[in-house]
Order: sequence, then structure tokens, then C-alpha cells
Amino acid sequence: MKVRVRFAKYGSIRYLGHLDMMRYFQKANRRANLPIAYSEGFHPHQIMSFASPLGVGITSDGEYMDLTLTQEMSCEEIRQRLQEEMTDEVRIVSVHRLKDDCKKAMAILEAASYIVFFRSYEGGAVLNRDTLQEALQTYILDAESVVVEKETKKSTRQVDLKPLIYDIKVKDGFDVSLADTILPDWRENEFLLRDTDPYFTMTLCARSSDNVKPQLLLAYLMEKLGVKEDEFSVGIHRIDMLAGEKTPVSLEEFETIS
Amino acid sequence: MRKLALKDNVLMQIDKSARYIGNEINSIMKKAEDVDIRYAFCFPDVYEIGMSHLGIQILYEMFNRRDDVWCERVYSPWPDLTAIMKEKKIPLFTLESQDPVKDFDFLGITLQYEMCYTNILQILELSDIPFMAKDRTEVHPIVMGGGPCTYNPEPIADFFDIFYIGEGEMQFDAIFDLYKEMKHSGHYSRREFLHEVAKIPGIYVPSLYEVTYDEKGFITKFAPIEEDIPTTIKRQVDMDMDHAPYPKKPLIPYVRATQDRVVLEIMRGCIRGCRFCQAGMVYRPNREKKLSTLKEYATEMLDNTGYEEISLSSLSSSDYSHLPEFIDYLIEECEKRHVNISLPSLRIDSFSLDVMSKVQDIKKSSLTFAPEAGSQRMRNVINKGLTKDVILNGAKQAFIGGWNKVKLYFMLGLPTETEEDIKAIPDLAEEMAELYYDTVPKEVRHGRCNINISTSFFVPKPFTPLQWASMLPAEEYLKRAGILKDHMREELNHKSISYQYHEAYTTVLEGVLARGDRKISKAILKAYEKGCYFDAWTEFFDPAKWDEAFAECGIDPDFYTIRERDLDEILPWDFIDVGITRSFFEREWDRAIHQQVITPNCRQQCSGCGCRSFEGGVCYEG
Ligand code: SF4
Ligand code: SF4
Repeated sequence: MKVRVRFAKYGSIRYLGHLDMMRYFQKANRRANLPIAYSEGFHPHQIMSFASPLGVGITSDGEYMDLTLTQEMSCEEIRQRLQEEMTDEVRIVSVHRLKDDCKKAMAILEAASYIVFFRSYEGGAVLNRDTLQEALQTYILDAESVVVEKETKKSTRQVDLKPLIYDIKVKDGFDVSLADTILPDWRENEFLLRDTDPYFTMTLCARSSDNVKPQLLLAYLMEKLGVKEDEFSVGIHRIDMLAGEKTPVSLEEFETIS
Repeated sequence: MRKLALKDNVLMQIDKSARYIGNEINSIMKKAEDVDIRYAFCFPDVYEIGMSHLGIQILYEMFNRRDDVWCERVYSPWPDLTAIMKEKKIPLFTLESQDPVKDFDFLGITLQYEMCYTNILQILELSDIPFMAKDRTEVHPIVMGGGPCTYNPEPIADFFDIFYIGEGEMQFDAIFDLYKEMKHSGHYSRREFLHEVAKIPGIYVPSLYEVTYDEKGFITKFAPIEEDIPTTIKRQVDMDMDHAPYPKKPLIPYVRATQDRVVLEIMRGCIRGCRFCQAGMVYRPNREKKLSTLKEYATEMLDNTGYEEISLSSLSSSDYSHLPEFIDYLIEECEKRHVNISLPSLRIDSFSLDVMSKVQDIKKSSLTFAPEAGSQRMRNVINKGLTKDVILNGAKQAFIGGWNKVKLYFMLGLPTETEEDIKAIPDLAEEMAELYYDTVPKEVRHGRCNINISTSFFVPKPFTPLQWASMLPAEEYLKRAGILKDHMREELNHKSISYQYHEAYTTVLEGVLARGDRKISKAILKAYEKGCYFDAWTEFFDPAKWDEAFAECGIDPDFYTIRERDLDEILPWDFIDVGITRSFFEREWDRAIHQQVITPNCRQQCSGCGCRSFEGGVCYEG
């Protein structure tokens, strides 16, 4: 049986890199005594895959891990057992059963949605909602292309982000439903999350070949605004990951059967 | 969310920020106001190394069982963070509460190798605690040292208020009780406490002892300055291995640590008595855990951690009496759970080869032999009972079994070593290579065999029979490595043999720090002030700075290394009683250097080292 686990991570655990997070779950799966399927060979490993690595320092409500189990088990039981093995900073949001022939989350991932906000510090630029709105309109929404240098392992190449931006907005007045989860984390670290502070929401392409990091877009916009690199610092929260080409839906709902 | 000592902008600037966040699975959180004693336990090296250390995990478990103590951890911040902490004046903090170390009652530092000495000073500086014990006041934590390096604590004596000599399981309760009682009664003062704690067995308070030297620098007297302070400090030994505290729920680091597995200690001590080996002496007598204890611990720890690998820890696992039964049990349990077994270097024989073929991929793994010396004469000197026949026979069986990679470990610069002894090393490798080509037919070979020789340079350690031996200058070590290399190139099968050797200068420095006296501490401080720390890391080690530090402090390192010591010289560590008699060490020195004969191991025949006084372990077997 295949299942997709959605989890959220807040707090200090956001400083774990992707590989460490995978190792964290490998151990948790064992402690939870889940009937995980293993690969063959001298050093068998768990058959598990993550939808997309989350950058260090980013909090999230929408992380996904697909597991293959050798026995049937109710999704709720899996969720509970896993939750018991989590630190207080990781929440198992849901567990859904997948069709047996479904593709890996990584392969179907289309987009990811984020909230991006600013840290206030000495020497940092003060940006209000109108300035950001205007810049967004001019340099992204009305622009023909949004060309940035993208660094890959081997070289840097020019990429046009415009077709990879599915949605982007400037807002203020923070969603109170986030008050218990991400807000305390970020407030502790001088991030501006008061009612009047501006922030972005965005949905960006997350296909493994064309993944766009929110930082990249922000850096582009700030450069256009003439804000220097050391004059701004952003906090990022991933809201969810989406699949399906035409009208992407949450991975939680995509090809899951229960 | 948990309060972190480092802000987001700092954590995002540094490498592996997860090293500093704490909150690992099985870490212990208490409320500071609920406890009487706050203990910061430090391993003065980077997180990944420190977290792999079993000793801290044992004591962490033991201390935290007490409701009145909260033991937390601290490791050396990596240089990237160190620079930021100094610039922004961020005080060093523990991982659990993230509170400044300077507010704790105790700072305990485990001393596992000499090359971490400058890191002690890094920890003190970042914690804002004075380097010198004498400069500390009532507001500072009591700084304590423990671990193998305390068998000669003198070079770092000035930096510590207390040393604990021996196994931590024994006296910590007494220390905590005393501290708590004095605090509660209102009679506490740092001076009073140090005076009282010095009377607890195994506790050494350096400030209560005075050392006098003659004009040449030799120690003429070492004595307590007050009458009620003991003249010798007795090593503490836990004789009840089956009831000793053990971390059945060990901390599981988020960041991959060097030991990313369950570590199960199967016994303490070693029966062998190799004459260069400090651990083999100072953990005597050999004490085994019961098979039933180990079985219980193994499964429980795997369940509690979710680790995918388990490894056995001891000085010489092949000597554990119930090894075959235990390994059978492990293989069965681990297969069920998809857990790998990692075996520490077992002595190569048909049993271990059989076991290894079951638990590892032969094609990828290599075999390890540690003959430590190339010639039989040299092996007699160091009391390594392994003979060439045994080594070659083991290798032959391994080659038949499908292995073709072998690692051979040796030491260079041993006392009485000649050119012949050095050349015997590649000769042994050559014989092994020939044996491979003679044993394994062409059709079944996977290319060449691969024999890797690795040498370290010998450092005489306190409380070993070779503690009086002289060392050599760094150039001489390199010359000897050169002889080995040149000779290796002349071997017929030299293409199947490779050679690596350790840094020579590090060895010399280790020699000074291992056998130095109290005068050395100035040089350590000076070296630190010049920027030395993380000396155990080749990328940071800077010999030139150490040279300058010694010169500026008027210390001649050769005094501690090159000179052969007389048997009647007062050694800096003579005030410690490890439970092994002086006459045993002298007898063994004579058997090493003059008679050049092997001493039987503890199971073959007791050689009366003195450890029967601990009333247990191998001394009372059979
Ligand atoms: S076998 Fe020899 S070298 Fe190894 S631990 Fe025992 S005494 Fe030390
Ligand atoms: S007293 Fe004898 S048996 Fe016991 S440790 Fe010493 S030599 Fe070995």
C-alpha cells in the first residue's frame, strides 16, 4: 500500500537541511513501527520519497513524503503513530492512500505556494505596500519577461521567470489563522508581521526542471527597486505544493483515494 | 516556539546551523527553576564528533535521572560561528535551554585527546569564564575535566578547578550532594567547596597542590598544600557493568554524526596489555557485560532510536567471551528489522571472516590488521602477541573468502626501532600480496589486491610501560617514513601496495601535551592567543604558531619528548594511582626494552598488575 504523508514544520527544526530531514523521518518511521517496504541488497533502505526539498530556514505547512508499506493499515493509525514520534515542531497534517500505480510526488509536482515577508533591522530598507505594489506591477506583472541569472551546478544561465510565475500578490493584514503556527517563530526573529506590514503571496513553478525559489524573484524585484543585497532580508513560509497541469490542486488531493 | 540563542540572521549565515538548535529526539528538557544544579557538559570539538561520544551519553542519562540536576550539552562552535559570536558578543550557550554557560553551576569538559586543549580555551573565552582557575570568582561555574587525558592533567591544570580521575559512574552523586548541601546550608563558597570536594575519592583539585622544580626543570616535589588533602588520587572504577547506567534512549542528532548508529558497549578494559596502549592499562581490569544484558539493550535501543545500524563498542571485541552467541542473536534480530551491523575491527580468523561475510559486502569492504610493528622483535617489545603466521593465515583465508582489500596499521618510531624493523613493514605487505596471487587463481580475481599500509608515529603515554621512552624529532619521523616508502617501491608487487602516514609535527606536539607538566599551560594559552584552535583538524593546525608559543614561553619541547626518562625521576602524573603498581610498569619496561619478551594476557596468566584490588572482572574469572 502506498500513502502520502503531509506534514508541517515550524520552529528551530526549519534549520535542518533536506537530507537531515529525510534521516529524521527514516528513524521516526521505524520508531513508529510502520511496516515500511525496503529495497533489496546489503544495505536495504526504506522506500520513501519526498516531493521537493525545502530550503534551510523555511517553515512549511505543506511538505510531502510518499511511503510504501508492506501491510494494510488505516491512514489515521499511520498518522497517529507517526505523530507520536515527532518533535513538538513537526505536525503530521494528514495521511492519504494513493493509487497503487500513481507516480511519485516528485514527478507530478507542478507548483508551490509561499508567503514571503520582511525582517526589520538596523540598516534595512523600509518598504511600504504601495512601493512594493508598484514595483510588482511594473517589473513583473506588466513586464514582458523577468530574466534572471540562475545558477546550476555547472554554470549560470539566463532564465525567464515570467511563464513560471503562476500568481503573485502584495498584501497586508496578516491572516490570523497563522497566528499560532508560523507567526511566533518569525516574530521572535524580528520579522514584520503586524497588521500593516506588507508581504507577498506567490505560487511558483516547482517542476524539478524549472523550480523557482521565492528568494530569486525577490532579489530581482529588489534590484529593480535599487535596494541593495544587505538592505533586505526575507522570511519564507511554504503554504502547500500542488500538482496537475491545468488547474493544480494540493498534492494532498491529487490521485489520492482515501 | 523554543527560544534560540542565535537569531535567524545568524543561523542563516553559518554552515550546518542545525548543530546549534538542540531539541534532538531524546534530549532532556527540564525547567531551570525546578532544579538545584545546572550542569553544562562539553565535548570540546565540533557537534558531529562530540555527539558521537558514548561517555557523555552515559553521564547525560545518569545526571538527568536526578530530579535536582539538569545536565545539558555544549560543543565547540565551528570557526564561522565563533567569529560571529565574538563580534556580536553572543555568549556560549547550551543546546537544551539555550542559556549562557556562564550561568551554570558546573561546566564539565571531557578530554578525549590532547589536540583539543586549545578548544578548552575557546569554550572558556566564548562563555566569558576566565582562563585561569585562580581568576574565577563566586559568579563563575566550577570548571571540571574528565576523560582519558586526565591521566596526566598537569599541562592543563591551571585551567581547571577540578579533575575527575576515572569512570564517571562512581562519584558524581557525592559531588552533587556535597554541592547542594553546601549551597542550601548557606556555607557555600568556591574555596570551601573545592576544599571539601578534594576529599572525595578520585577528585583532584590542582590549586590545592604545589609543584617544585629544580633549576633544570625536573620536578623535585609534588604535594598538597594542606594537611587534610590526599596525597594521591585513586582512579574510580565501576565494577558492576550490568547495573551501570546506560543510555537506553540515547540522543539522536539531526545532523549526521560520526557515529550515526546505536553504540552498544559490550565490555570495558582489555586483557591484552600492549605496552604502548594507555586505554589497555587505565581501563583495567577487563569487565564484561552479561549476554542477557546486551541482548536486552540491543533491541531496546534499536526500538527507542529507529537507527538503521548498530555497532559494538569495546577495546577488543574479539575477546568478549560470548561473542559468537551474541553475534548470532544480533544477526537474527537485525535481519528482521532491516538493521545493519557494523563490526569494529575484529581479529581476523575464521570466525570473524564468517561473521563479516554475513554482515557486509565483501567486494566493498576491506580487512583490517593492526600488527603495529613489522618485525617480530619489535612486536615483542610492544607486547603485540600477533605473529606473522597468524596474520598471513588470516589473510589467506580472507583472500579465499573473496576479500582483496587489506588495511595494515603500524607505528613508527617505537623504542629500539632499527632500519630493519621499518623495512619489515613493506616486506610483510609484500608477502601478503604474493600470498594473494598464489592463493587466488587468475580467473576469480577482481583485479589486483590492494594492500594499504598506514603508519602513525609512536607517542609514549602516561601509565603505560613505555611511559619513560624517548621520542624523536619530527625530521627523524619523516626520515623513517621515507625509508619505508623507498623500500616499498622496491618490492616486487609494489603496485598492489600503498602507503600513508600521519603528520609528524602533530605527533611531537601530542608528545609534549601528553607528558608535559604544569609549565606547559602557558604555552597552550599563548598558542590559543595566537589563533590556534581546532588543532585536531589538519586544515586549522598551524605548527609555526605553536613553535612561536613555546619559544616565547621559554619552553623547550625537547625536554618533554626527546629525553629518555630515568626510572627514579618524579613524573608529573605520579600522584595518580590508577590501580596498577609501579613495579608492574617497571617490570614491563624491562621486559620491553631489555628482555624483549611477550607478557601473557590476563586470560592466559595473571601478571599481577595490581588490579585484583578492584575485586572483580577478568582477575577473578575461572
Ligand atoms: S589489544 Fe592492545 S592495543 Fe588493543 S586495546 Fe587491547 S591493549 Fe590496547
Ligand atoms: S591483576 Fe592480573 S588478571 Fe587482573 S588485570 Fe592485572 S594482570 Fe590482568
